[in-house]
Amino acid sequence: MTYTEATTMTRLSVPKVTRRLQYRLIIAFVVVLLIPTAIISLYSLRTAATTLIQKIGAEELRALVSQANDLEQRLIDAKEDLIFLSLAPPTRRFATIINGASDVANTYRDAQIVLLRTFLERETTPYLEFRIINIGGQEVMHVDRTGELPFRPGSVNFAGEAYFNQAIGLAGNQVYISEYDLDRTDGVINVPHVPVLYYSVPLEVDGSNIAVLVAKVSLMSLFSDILSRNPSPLYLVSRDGSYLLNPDSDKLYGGVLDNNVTFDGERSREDVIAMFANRQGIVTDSIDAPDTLQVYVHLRPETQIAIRWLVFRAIPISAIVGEVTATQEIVILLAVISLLAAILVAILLTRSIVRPIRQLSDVADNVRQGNWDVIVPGTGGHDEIGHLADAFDAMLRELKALYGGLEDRVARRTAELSSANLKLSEAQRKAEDASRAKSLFLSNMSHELRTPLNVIIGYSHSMLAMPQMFNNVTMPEVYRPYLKLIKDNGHYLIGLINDILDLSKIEAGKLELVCTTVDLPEVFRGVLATATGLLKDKSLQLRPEYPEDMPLVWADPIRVRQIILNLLSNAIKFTNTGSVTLKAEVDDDWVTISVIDTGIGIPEEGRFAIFDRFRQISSGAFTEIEGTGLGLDISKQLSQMHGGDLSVHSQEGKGSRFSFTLPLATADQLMTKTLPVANNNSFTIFDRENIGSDEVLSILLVEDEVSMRELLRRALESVGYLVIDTHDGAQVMELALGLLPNLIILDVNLPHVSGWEVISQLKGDAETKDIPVVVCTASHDRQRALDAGAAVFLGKPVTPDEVITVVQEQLSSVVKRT
Amino acid sequence: MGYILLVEDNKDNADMIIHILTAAHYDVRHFSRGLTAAQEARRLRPDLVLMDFNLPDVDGRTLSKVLIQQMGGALAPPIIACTARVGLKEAKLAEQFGCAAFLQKPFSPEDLLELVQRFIIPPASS
Repeated sequence: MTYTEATTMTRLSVPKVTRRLQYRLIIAFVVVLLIPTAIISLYSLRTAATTLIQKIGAEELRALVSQANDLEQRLIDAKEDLIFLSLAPPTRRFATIINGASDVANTYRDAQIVLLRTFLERETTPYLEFRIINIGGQEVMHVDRTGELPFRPGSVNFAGEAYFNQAIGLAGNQVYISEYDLDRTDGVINVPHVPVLYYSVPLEVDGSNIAVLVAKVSLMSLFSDILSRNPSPLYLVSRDGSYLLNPDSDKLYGGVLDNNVTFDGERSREDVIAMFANRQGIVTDSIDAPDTLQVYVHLRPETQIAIRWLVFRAIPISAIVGEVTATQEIVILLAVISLLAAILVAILLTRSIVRPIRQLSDVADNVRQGNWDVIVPGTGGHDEIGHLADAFDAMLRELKALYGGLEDRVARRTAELSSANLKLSEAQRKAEDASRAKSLFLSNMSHELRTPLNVIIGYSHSMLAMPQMFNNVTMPEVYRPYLKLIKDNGHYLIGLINDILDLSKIEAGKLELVCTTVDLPEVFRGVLATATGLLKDKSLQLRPEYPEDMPLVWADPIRVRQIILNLLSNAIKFTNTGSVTLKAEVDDDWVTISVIDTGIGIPEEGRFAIFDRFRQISSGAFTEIEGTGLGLDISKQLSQMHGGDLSVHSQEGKGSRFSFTLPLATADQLMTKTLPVANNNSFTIFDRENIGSDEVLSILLVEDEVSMRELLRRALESVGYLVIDTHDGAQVMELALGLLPNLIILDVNLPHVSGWEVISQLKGDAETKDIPVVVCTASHDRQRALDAGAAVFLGKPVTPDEVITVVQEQLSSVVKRT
Repeated sequence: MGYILLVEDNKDNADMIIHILTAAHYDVRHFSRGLTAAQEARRLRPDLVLMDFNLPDVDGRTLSKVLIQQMGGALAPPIIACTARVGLKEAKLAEQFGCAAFLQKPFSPEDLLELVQRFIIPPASS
């Protein structure tokens, strides 16, 4: 049988395991794994992000620096172009004619225009136009990409322009670069906006500056190839804060357009300071551009102070961190996978630990429910659990052996105990039997003693007092005292027998008081009358000392009479002169009844002994007085049974006082019917009102077998029949004739005389022939019974109910008849 | 009038009772067995039955009850139950079984006569 079968076989009400060890282990496993994984992942991700930002920032800055260098180079290239132009022979030649003759001047002029146009017509040229302005501020030449523009003398004077008056004072080979401006026509800004720079260089003739060459340079053309090379947006801020480059074209040229959109207008002071104070740098965590990494470089063409531009690029960090986020997802995925793997491992691992443990606990549960026939699983393993199972198995074997032994011991002890109980109950039964036998013996003995005493007392009494019984023949006087002795001793013997009987009843606890409301004065009168007879020839005064109108007490009148009579007879016995007083006092709920004498009294040392049964104070005057000594003991016990006690006060030589108490009847007790007080006589006459009102039918039951007889007798008595039973066939006829029962139940198999004989006798006698006979027998002689005159034949076995039914059937006609 | 049926199995007691009652001019018939007494009672209806309850052949109480029933219930002659057994129980049982009085042994001749006189007036001495 496998373990699983064993458990299913014996699955009883095992308490359910609610907090499973396995789950707790798995949870612990997962928690232990999850916490460091999460911490490490978060930390590494953060570090990675920071490092990445720094790295990208550095790269971006390096790229920006190179770009800035390119931009600077472009600006310088333009400047060098202008120096070249100012020193080129055509220019030098043209300069000589600016203030001279016109003939030659035309030739030189044309050469000059060709030179300038070569610069204007170069592929990707930044130059929009060239002007030559003489010292007076008058334009002497104006060339753009379309050619020379018509000369308009006197229309515009350039003397006020910075690119003129700054450049006119410069030494040779020096170039002035203006602030940025937007391209204008006659002072009006062209739309679309074209940001321009003015480069101007003085033209020198014979050591003095006679004119200025001005080039209008388009910034976008200047930087076009650089900007087109780099797609990511670049910001360029001029010294006045205007954006020269901004992805948002509305923010461009704030300084010139005067729309207040400038770098320093948009940025906080911290940003402006940070980005303008250094040559180059990286800004992260800027308030103005959160989540943005900014790299910046200052453009400072070393030869020219006019240009101090800030170029920067803004890279959104999310773009950078996007890579990190990708990494993060991978990390999370890996974490989840490893977590699942961990849970799986945990489940497998814990199951391998928990399952054998659970199996062991199941086995333990089975054993607890008394199923010892289980197989311990997992024994013989080499790990700790295998060892545990081995140990458990060994323990189970020992327990089983021990338990089996225990059961045997318990069985043995139980057997011993029940045998002891049997002996005990046997002993008890014997004791009860003995007690019953003793009571019966005493009762019978009392009966047997009384019967002859009746004759002794009766005759002695009548011989003394009733001469008419003896034909009025007077008895010789000489016999009289002796006859009296016979009579008195007869009475004494009766008293003795009564005392012994009472005492045995008290000892057996069988003496029961028949309490009722008692009128004490009535009892007293009777007792005193009897006591007067005890006085005989003693010259004692019997003194009643009680009020006639006493409240009723609750007591057994016969016993009260017995106590008082005992006390009085004692007092008379031990008093020769003076008086014996019967006194009663009412005190609260009690009546104290006292018998006071002026007799010999009781010595102090004897006062406790007087209540000892069979004991009399055996010294001096006491020896001459007869008595059993039972009386006081009985009186004391009787008064205690009434709820009081008997006490004695005595003074030797002066007299004694015996007192006992009786309870007054309560209101409830007063309501009960008062029994007639027992009289002094030996007879009782009953109230005969109810006699004869009840119809009782008698049945003579003749049955040999004692148990059957008892059974039927009880059954018939229980339904109200009077049953006389006998086992003896020889008695039946006599009983039937004597009792004339209403019905006879007769068993045929009887000792001495058979039932058939009996039935024929019954039917043969005129007095008994009409009594219905129910033959109840085990033999199958139905016909014989009916022929013999039986009213009914009942074949045994028979139940009491069947018998009762038959009897009732038979007697219904009898009832009608009577 | 004055026919008393005495049922008493103790011969000495019976003799004494007969002596006492006869001296008082009662007509006494004595039976030591209850069943024959019952037959006689039915045959010659007595004025009083004095019956010892401790009889050898039949229980005195049962016999009393049967007799009272057969002799007319309330109209039946009174039965005085007599026993040497003592106690209230005996007296009560006698009452239950329909007896008219209970006489406790031993009794004095005066008591017996007093009791009998309660039920039947003694015939005048002749």
